[in-house]
Amino acid sequence: MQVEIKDLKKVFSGQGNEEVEALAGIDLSITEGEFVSIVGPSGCGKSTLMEIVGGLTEPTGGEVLIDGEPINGPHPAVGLVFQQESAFPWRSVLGNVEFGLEMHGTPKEERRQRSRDLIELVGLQGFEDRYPEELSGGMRQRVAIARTLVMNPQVLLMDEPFGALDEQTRLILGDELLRIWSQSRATALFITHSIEEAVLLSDRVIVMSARPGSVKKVVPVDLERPRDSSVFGTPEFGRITGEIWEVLREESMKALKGQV
Amino acid sequence: MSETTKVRLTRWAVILAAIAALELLPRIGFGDAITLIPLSEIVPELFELLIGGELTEHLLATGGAFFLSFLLAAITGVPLGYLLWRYSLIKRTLDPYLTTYYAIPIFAFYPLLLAILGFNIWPIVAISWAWAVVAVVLNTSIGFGEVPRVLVRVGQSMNLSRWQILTKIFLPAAAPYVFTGLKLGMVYSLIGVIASEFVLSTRGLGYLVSYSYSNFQTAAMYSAMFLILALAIFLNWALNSIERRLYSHG
Repeated sequence: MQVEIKDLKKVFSGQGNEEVEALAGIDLSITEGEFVSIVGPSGCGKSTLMEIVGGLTEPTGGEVLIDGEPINGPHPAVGLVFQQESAFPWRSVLGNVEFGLEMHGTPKEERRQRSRDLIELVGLQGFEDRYPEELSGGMRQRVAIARTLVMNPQVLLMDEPFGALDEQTRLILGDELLRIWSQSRATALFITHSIEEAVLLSDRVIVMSARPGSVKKVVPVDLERPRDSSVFGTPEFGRITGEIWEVLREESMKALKGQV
Repeated sequence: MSETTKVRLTRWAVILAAIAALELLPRIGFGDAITLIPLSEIVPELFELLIGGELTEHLLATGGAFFLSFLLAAITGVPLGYLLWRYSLIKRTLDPYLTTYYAIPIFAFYPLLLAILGFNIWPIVAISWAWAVVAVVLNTSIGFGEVPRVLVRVGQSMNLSRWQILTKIFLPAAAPYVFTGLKLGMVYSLIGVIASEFVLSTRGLGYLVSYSYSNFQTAAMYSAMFLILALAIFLNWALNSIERRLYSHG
C-alpha cells in the first residue's frame, strides 16, 4: 500500500492563547513496500506525525492518503508499534499476540495458529505462556511487534520501537526486523533517533528540521538488500550516516538553542 | 536456616506467644477474673456455644449484613469510581468531600438511620456500605487514572469500540487498584457491621460482645471476639486467593 502525506500541519493549543506549532507542512510519499525512516531532533514532531498517519490524532491542516483514500481515524490495514512499554501485563505472550484477532472475532483455532506462527517469527517460541513481567525489555517489545504483525498490516508504523533498549539489543532486533519485514513486505514508516538504525533499515531516510517540523532532507540508502548490521563497517554506510549527521547536527543545535 | 524459614518460624512464635500470654496472664493474677480469663476456659465455651447453636443466629446476622453491604459497595463503588475518573467535573466538585470523608465519624449518624430505616438490618447495611463504598470509589478512580495511555492507544489503533477499550483494556489494567479498593472496602464493611451492632442491635457478633460484657459473661464475650477475628481472617484470605487466582503468574 502506498502512503501519501500532503502538506500536513499540526498546531497544539497550549494554555491560554499560547499555540505550539508541531508540524509545518510535511510532504512525503512512500511507495508500496518501501521502508522509510524519519530522524529528527527531539521535539521535532516525529511522534505527532506518526500519530496522525496512524489516525489517532487529527491534523490541523493537510491530509494523509492511503492508496489514494484520505484516512479518517485508524485505518484497518495500518499497524502501529509504540516506543513505550505496551505489552498488556495481564495477558500471556500468546494472549497479547492474539489480542487484536480476538477483538475482531477471528475463530479461536485460526487466531491461535496465526499467533503461534508470529511468536515463532519474532523468536519467542517456548515463551507463549509467560507474562510480560517475566520477560526482558527486548522480548516485551518483540511481543508488541508480533501483536501488531499478526493483524497482517499492509502499512507498518513504528515510533522508536527500540528506543528504550540498549545498543546491542537494538542492533539485534534491527536485524530481526529486517528479516521479518522482508517476509511481509509491508510499507514501513520507522521513527528513530539513531542514524545507524535508520540507515541499516531503510530505503530512504527523511531528516526532519527542528520544531516546527518539516522535511529538511531526503537521503536515499542504496545499500544492497538483504542486509544486516554487518554493513556498519562499509565506506558507503559511513558516507550516508555522515551525510545525515551533517544536516541533523545543524537542526539539533537549533533545537537545543530553542530550549535554552 | 533460610530467611523464609526464619520469617515463618517467627510468625508462628508470635501466635504461640499470644496464646501463652492469654493463658498465663490471667493465671498469675493479671487483671481481674471478670475481664480476663484463661484461654483454656474460653475455647470450650466457644465450642459449646457453637455446637449448641447459640452463635448461629449472631453469626448469620453479622455475615448477612456484611455480605449485603460489601456487595452493594462493590456494585456501586466500581461504576461510581469510573464516573469520577471519566468526568473531571464530578471529581473536581466532590474532591474536598471525598478527601475528608474518612475524617467524619459516620457512626454518629446511626441513630438517625435507625429512625429513617427502622429497627432492622438496613441501618447496619446502610452505614457499612457508606463506610466501605468511598474506599472502592477512590481506588477505582485512581486505578483508571493510572492506566498507561499507550495501552489505550494500542486499542484505538486496532479500531476497537469504546466498550471493548473499556472492558478489555481499562478494566484489566485498573484491576490491581480496584482490588485494593475492594480489600479496603471489605475491611471497612466488616468494621461498619460490628461497630453498628455494638451501638444498637439485638443480634450479631458485635451485639454479643457488648451484651456479654455488660452481663459478665466473659467467656461468651471472648468467644464472640474470636469469631469476629476468625471471620476477618477468613474473608481476607478468601479475597486474597481470588486475587491470586486472577494474577496467578510471575
